[in-house]
Amino acid sequence: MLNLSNLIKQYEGVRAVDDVSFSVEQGDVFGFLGPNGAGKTTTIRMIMGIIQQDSGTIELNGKNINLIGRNNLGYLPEDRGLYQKQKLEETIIYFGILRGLSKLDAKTKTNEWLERFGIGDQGNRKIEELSKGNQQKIQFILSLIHDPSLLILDEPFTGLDPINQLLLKEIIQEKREEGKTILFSTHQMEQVERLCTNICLINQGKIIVEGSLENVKKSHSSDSVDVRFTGELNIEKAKSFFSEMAIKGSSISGVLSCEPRDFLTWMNESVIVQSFQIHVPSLEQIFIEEVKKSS
Amino acid sequence: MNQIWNIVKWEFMNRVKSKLFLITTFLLPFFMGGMMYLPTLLMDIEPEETTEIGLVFEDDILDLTERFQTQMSSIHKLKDGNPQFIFNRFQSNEIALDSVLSKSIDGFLFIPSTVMDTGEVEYFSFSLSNIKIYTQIRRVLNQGVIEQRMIEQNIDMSMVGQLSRRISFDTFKIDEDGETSEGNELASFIIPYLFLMILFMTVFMSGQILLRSVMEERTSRTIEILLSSVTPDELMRGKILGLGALGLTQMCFYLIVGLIATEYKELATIDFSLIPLFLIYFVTGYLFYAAIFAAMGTFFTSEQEAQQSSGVISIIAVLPMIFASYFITNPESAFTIGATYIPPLTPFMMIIRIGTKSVEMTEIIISTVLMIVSCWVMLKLSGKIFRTAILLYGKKATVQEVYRWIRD
Repeated sequence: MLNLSNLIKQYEGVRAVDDVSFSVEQGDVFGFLGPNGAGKTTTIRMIMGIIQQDSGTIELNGKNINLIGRNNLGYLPEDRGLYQKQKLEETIIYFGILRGLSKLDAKTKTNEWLERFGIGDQGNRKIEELSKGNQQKIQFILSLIHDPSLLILDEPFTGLDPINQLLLKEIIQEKREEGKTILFSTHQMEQVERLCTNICLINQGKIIVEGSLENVKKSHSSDSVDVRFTGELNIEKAKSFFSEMAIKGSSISGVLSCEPRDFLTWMNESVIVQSFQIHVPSLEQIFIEEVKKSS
Repeated sequence: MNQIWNIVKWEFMNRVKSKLFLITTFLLPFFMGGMMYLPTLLMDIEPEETTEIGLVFEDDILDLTERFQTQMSSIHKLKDGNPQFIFNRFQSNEIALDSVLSKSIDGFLFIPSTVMDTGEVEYFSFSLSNIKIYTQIRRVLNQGVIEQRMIEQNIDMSMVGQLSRRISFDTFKIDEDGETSEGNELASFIIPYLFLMILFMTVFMSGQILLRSVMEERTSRTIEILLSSVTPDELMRGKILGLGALGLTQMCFYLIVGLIATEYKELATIDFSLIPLFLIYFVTGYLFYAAIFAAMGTFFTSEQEAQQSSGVISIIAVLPMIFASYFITNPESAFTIGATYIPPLTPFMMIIRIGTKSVEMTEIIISTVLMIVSCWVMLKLSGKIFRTAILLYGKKATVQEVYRWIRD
C-alpha cells in the first residue's frame, strides 16, 4: 500500500504540489489524473525519490519510501527515452542490474520479456533502429523487469497499436492480481474507466476529486434523462416532474426535479415506456467540468 | 557504491568497445608521428631536378665566384650524382630577370663587387618558399667570401681551409647525481612536448565524451529512467570514474607508444619513474575538467552549444601548449613557475616541467596538494549544479539560478 500524506513541494514560492494526500491499496490500479502542469510528475518524482518533498510523508507498506530501497519501485516516466546507440538487450540488462538484479537474472528476464512482447529476435539491434512502439515496449520492460511492489506508469499506452495496448493491459491486470500497487497516470480517460477502481484528480497542485470511480461518477451524475414512449401522455403532469424539459413527438429529454424512480413509475402507469436512460457523465466530462471549476 | 561501480562498468565497456574510440586511439599516434617526422623526412630527400641559377657579377670577383661554383657542385648533388645547381652568368640584372620571367632559370644571384666589404648579396626568384635552396647557396657563398677575405690578407691558400673550419659543439645533460649523459636538443624538446600532448588529448577526449554523454542522457530523457534507480550523485560519480578509466587506458597506450617511438628513434630512453607523476597529473587534471564538463552537460540542449563552450574551456587549457617552447626553454623563469600554480594549468605545466627535469620534489608535492584541493572544490560545485539541473530539460538555467544552487 502506498500512502501519501500532506505532501508539499515548492518551486520559487509556487506550490507545485500543495498538501496532497491519498492512498493506493495493494492490488489496486489507481488513476492519478490531472491536466498538464497540475503537479502529477512532481508528485511521482517525489514518490520515486528523484526529488525530495519540502514536507509531508510517503510510505510504502507502512515504511518510509526513502528507506526501503528503490529496487521496490518501478517507474515508466512520461518523458522517457533510451540510449539510442546501444543494443536493446544490453540496455535492458544494464537497467536490470541497476535495479538490483544479478547479471544472470537480468539476462534471463530480459529474454523472457522480449519474447513476451514478440521482439525476442531483436535483442542485438540498436534501439534507434526500433519503431517508436517497440521502444515504448522496452521502456515498459525496464519499469518492471525487477518485479517491483510499486509500479508507476505514466502514459503507458501512447504510441502502441491496439494489439499491444491489449497486451499491456493484460500485464497490468496480471500485476494487480499479484498484489502489486499500481499508480496509473494518463490523459486517456477511457483507459482509466477500463482499468482503475479508484482515482484522484489534481489541479494546480491540489486534489479536487478523489474516491472510487463508481462514487465519483455517482456524485457527478445529474438527473438528466432521455425517455421514449408510445401512447397518450399528460404533458402538463409530466412537466411537473422536471426542472427543465423538452418534448419532441414521443420522446422527452430533460432534467428531473424528483427521483428518477418516481417519474418512471408514473410513466409506466400512463404510457408504454420503450426506453428510459439516465445520463451518467463520462470521466472525461467530469475531468473537464472539475478542472474548469477549480481553475 | 555498488551502483557507482555498475555505472563505471557500463560507461567504460560501452566506449572502449566503440569503433570510434578504437579508431581514434590507434590512429592518433601514427597521425601525430607522421606530423612530426614527415617534414624532416621530406627535407632529407635528395632533389631529383637541377636548379638553374643565374649569376650577375663583375670580373673583379671572378675568383670568388669560380670557387663558389666549384664548391656548390661538389657539395650539392642530385640522386644520380650530377651537380644539383647549374650556374649561368648574366651581364646584368635586367637580362637575368628576363630569364627568370621566361622561366629558363629558377632565380638569380646578384653579387656586387663590394661584397668583400659589405657582405651584401641579393637573390631573386619567383618563389622563396623553398628555404632549402637559398640556405644552401647562402652557406657556401658565405664560406667563400670568408675564405676570399683571408686570401686577400695574404694568408696561405693551404691554411685557409684549416683556419676557417668549424668547431664541433657537443651537448651533455647533467642529472641530480652529477652524472653526465650525451644530450640531444631535439629530445629535450620533444619529450616535454609529447608528454603535454598526451595529457591534453586524453583529458579533453574523456572530458568531451563525458559532456556529450550527460547531454545525451538528458536530451534523450534516459535520465528520468536512470534516476529512478540511482541518485544524481551516483550517476555523476559513476560517469566521471568510468570515462576517467577510459582516458587512463588511452593515456597508457599513448605513453607506451610514445616512449617506444622515442626510444626507437634514439631520442630518449624510457624513464619509468615518471609514470606515477603522470598518473597524479592525469587524475587531478581529468577530475578538474570532468567536474566542469559534467556540469556543462546539464546545461546545454544542443550539440552545437556544447561544442562551442567546450571550445572556450579548451582554449584555457591549450595555453601551456601555445607557450610550450617558451616554458621548455625557460623552465625556471618566474612566468613559468607562476603559471604552474594556476589550477586549470597546473597539470599541464607540471608535465612540461617534469619533461625538462627542472622540478623539485617540493614543487611536486605543492602542486599535487593544490590540485587535490581544486578538484574537491570543483567537484563539490559541479555536484550541486548537476543534481538540480539534470532534471531541467526544457529550459536553460540562468546565472542567478546557478548561483542559488551553488549557495544552497
